Amino acid sequence: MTDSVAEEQALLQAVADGDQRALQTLYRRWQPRLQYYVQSRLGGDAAAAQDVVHEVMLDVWRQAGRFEGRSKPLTWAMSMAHNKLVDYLRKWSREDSHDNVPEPEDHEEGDTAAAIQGSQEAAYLHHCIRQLPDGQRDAIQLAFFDDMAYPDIAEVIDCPLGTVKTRIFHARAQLKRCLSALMKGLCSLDEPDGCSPRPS
Amino acid sequence: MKHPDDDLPAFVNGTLPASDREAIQAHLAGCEQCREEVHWLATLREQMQNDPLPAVNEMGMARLMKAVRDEEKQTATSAPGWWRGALAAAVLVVVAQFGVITSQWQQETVYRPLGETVEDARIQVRFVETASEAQIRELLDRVEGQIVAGPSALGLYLIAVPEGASVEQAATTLRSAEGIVEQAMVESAE
Ligand SMILES: [Zn+2]
Repeated sequence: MTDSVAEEQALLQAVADGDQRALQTLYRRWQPRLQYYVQSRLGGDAAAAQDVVHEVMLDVWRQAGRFEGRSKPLTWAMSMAHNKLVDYLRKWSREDSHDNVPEPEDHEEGDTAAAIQGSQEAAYLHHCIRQLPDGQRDAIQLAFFDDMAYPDIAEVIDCPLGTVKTRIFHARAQLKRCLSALMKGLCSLDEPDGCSPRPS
Repeated sequence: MKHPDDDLPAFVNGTLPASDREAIQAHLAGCEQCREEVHWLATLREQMQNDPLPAVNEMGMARLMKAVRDEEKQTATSAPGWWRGALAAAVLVVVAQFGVITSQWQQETVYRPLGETVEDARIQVRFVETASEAQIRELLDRVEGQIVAGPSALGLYLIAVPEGASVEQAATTLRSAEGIVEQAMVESAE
């Protein structure tokens, strides 16, 4: 168990005992990560993401006593964020493209590692990540931005381990395809749906 | 061994169990294709992590703590403004330490307790009625501020921030503490 996990378990225990300062410490640690995750999922809507994160942290306060230590504290909070996010999206009946994951085609990839190293390429990568279906974007972001283990990702997004692996597999293929198409000038950043997966 | 493709992301982000790591490393030694994939995944991860995390949302924290306090109020009754007495007592101690008694500092252009350097900057603050003592202390800790006088008849406190600190920045931090600070104004120095 890492130090930060043990620390956060202790903080959560203190929160369960009514320690508001401990809640503030957890807020400082978690809010930026929760905000990043929720906001990127809400298409950059910072204010809506703040509302969701507020609800999550309020639930941390209310439910700290029910935390059983079966998962890491941050994973627990992220999974509450994911649930709130799903509720929020359902409430606003926004489109959720989880279930129509396109099959990646075999594709000439070129040197995609080199393609994402410069600053222009960073813009390409952002673009391609935005184009991913929500479920794939969640999984790849939790894996590489948050450095989470597969079982933790499965808990956050509330799906079987196998689904996490599949989504990450598809996301990798889709990102390569999108980056390589951008590099070859097959599509551009200006197109609203540039390089998005084509329905087959 | 077939290509351990599914395990490569966990290998790259450092979450693969040690036993599996060794197996992957052994495979990588002899497989150019997987080495390339690891390189691409590592570049992807690095690039994604170049995106900075947002700064802590101080207003969001004030909002959260207010909501927490509101919930507490529903279970336990507490007299509003109870902290004022405690703060006033603390202020008296500070003021006494400096050997300065003042009731009209807010009307003066500059107020300087004895023993303070002239570089010290001051901020006039009025706290929100319902702000708790803990919140105010936490906020003052954050800007390394100290109450040196107050409350005035208008309910204003005078906060000193340390020499060398950005008084404007401290004032901004105070001002943005939603639910704690009603107003914060930098005292003009000279
Ligand atoms: Zn291989």
